[in-house]
Amino acid sequence: MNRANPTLPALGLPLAPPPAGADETCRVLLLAQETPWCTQFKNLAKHLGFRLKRLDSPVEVLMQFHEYDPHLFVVGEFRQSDLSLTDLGDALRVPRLVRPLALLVTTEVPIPPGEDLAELGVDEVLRADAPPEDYASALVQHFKLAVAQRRLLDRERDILDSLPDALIVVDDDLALWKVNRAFAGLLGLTQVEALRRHLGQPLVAALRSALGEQAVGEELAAALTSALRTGKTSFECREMLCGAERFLAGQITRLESNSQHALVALRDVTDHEQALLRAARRERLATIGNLSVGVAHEIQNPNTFSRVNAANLRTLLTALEPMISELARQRPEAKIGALPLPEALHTIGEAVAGIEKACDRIATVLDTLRSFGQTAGDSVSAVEVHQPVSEAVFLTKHVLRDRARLTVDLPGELPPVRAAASELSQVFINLIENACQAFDFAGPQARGDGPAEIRIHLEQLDERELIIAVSDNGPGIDETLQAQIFRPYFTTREQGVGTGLGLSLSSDILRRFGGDLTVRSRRGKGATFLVTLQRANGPSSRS
Amino acid sequence: MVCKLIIVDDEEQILSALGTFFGLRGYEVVTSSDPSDALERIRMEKFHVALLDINMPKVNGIELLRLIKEARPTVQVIMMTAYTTIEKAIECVERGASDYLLKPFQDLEEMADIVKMAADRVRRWEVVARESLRNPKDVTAHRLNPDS
Repeated sequence: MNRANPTLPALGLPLAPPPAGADETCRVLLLAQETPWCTQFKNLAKHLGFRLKRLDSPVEVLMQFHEYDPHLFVVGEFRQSDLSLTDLGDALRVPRLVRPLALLVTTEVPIPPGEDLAELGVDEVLRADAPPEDYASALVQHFKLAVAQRRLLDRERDILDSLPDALIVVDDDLALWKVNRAFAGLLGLTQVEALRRHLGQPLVAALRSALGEQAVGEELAAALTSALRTGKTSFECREMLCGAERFLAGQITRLESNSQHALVALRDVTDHEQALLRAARRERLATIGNLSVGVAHEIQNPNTFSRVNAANLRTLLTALEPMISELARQRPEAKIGALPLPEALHTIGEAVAGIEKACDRIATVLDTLRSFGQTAGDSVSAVEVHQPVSEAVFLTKHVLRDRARLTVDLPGELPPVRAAASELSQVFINLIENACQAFDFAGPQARGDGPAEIRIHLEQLDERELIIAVSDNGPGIDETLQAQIFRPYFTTREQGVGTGLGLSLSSDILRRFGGDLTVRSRRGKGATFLVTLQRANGPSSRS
Repeated sequence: MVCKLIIVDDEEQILSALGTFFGLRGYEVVTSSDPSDALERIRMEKFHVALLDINMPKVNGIELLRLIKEARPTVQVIMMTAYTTIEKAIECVERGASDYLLKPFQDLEEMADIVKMAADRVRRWEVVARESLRNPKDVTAHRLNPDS
């Protein structure tokens, strides 16, 4: 192991050993030609126990810089080349922030006009005409400083890595300066080093380099940029991570040591968001349920009154009929308005029948509303599938109209399933509406054969599961999109048409029941959504 | 003998419609939208059947059922409710109601039958009561006959 000699008798210089981490050897990168000064410098480095690599050109320096990882970069001379000292300084600015080192130049190096040494990042100018041993002490001090700075960064990195929140430090231009293990974990990376290799790069570029994915980081970058610009200290965004959409909540803290840098703490709040969505949905359902019961009650009384009165009219009419017939026989010319008495009698009968029919229809609506209201927000229990299917069919009548023909083709007897009736209704409502919208979206020319049809039928029934299929002969779904359609906010429709939540929520609802929602489709060949439900008395429940 | 029916509901229109409905079927009908007044009339007059709405302000139908049964145990009480649950119906039957009707009355003829059966029951009891005064043995036989 190379170690710095505590004394250098040949040079007569007292030398302290390298500071903490004495096993660390100083690595020096020397940009110089083979000149007498260069030889002297190499000897000095050797005496100091430093490792040294000499390179001829700035381009070579840049190519080997990362791999060699020098503590000291000494520019002995700088001949005319494609790169200027300014270019070199710029290129090293970022790597130096990640891995501190000292940049030393000799007086032989011409400083570009108008440039400032501090701006170029030069830490010290070495006199080329002085013997190298004159600045041996300075080299050791710069080495110590670089090691100390690196240790500090290491300690900071250890602290960051030990924290549970995903943390990054970015500047106002959204270059990534620090990253911790939790952030790498959030992205699905097992090694944080995969990201640290790209520090100093723009956030999105760094993430893409580390993950090799095209669309990662854009949402995060957009939300973060907006928050930084507007001075917000928190933000939220949705980002595709590990193949699934995640909700991220970020907290921004400006660093006191560098106001252009911000520490961003990110937390995956997907589960929380989904719980909120579920709670909101249940609350909405409960509200609709209460409303339904209220509306049903308000309409029920007048409907009862109308029904009974219609029955009364019919009773009276039946009683009056022979009398009026007798009157008509006696006075054939007798009319009510333009109607002869027998015809008037018939008209009254028809009117009463119309009222009775209307009352029956209202009663059916009220039954559905009341049933929906009573089960809204209910808990998982044994449910007969027919009821939620019938409710969904009834409640989507206005959506269907003449856009599609809906047929329900279920066996009369089906075993009960584990579900909450109102939420299962919601699933079928979503699937029917989704099928309808698919017809609209694609237009008739993209439709499969025949008129628009939606069919609800039994796909499979075994001792464990019951699968109901909701099929349509619409335009179908591209295979490439099929994995995405169950993600929240994914929609292929125009903006403002649909929330993009229907299928996601339906899938979420069915998973809560231990079931599942899947799709089977080919472009131009319609789509079949399969609602898998566990039988309530099945042999065992899937967790 | 004319069957006397009292209908108690806070909805005047339903009272009116039901009053006509049963009046056309030969019942002598009294309607009341005030449970206290209705109870007072039941105490004062003889009714065969009472149709009570469950959900009424002041005195609800279940409480009115209790008061009627205290005052006139033989009155057949049929409950009416707009959104009764089966628990409510069971509670009513446990408290002495002979049957219950759900609003809106889907099958009006069935409703008429239920009221008629209740009225017939009271009339049979009256026959039994009259006979019991004349010949107690016959009454026992009558009581033991399930078809009676």
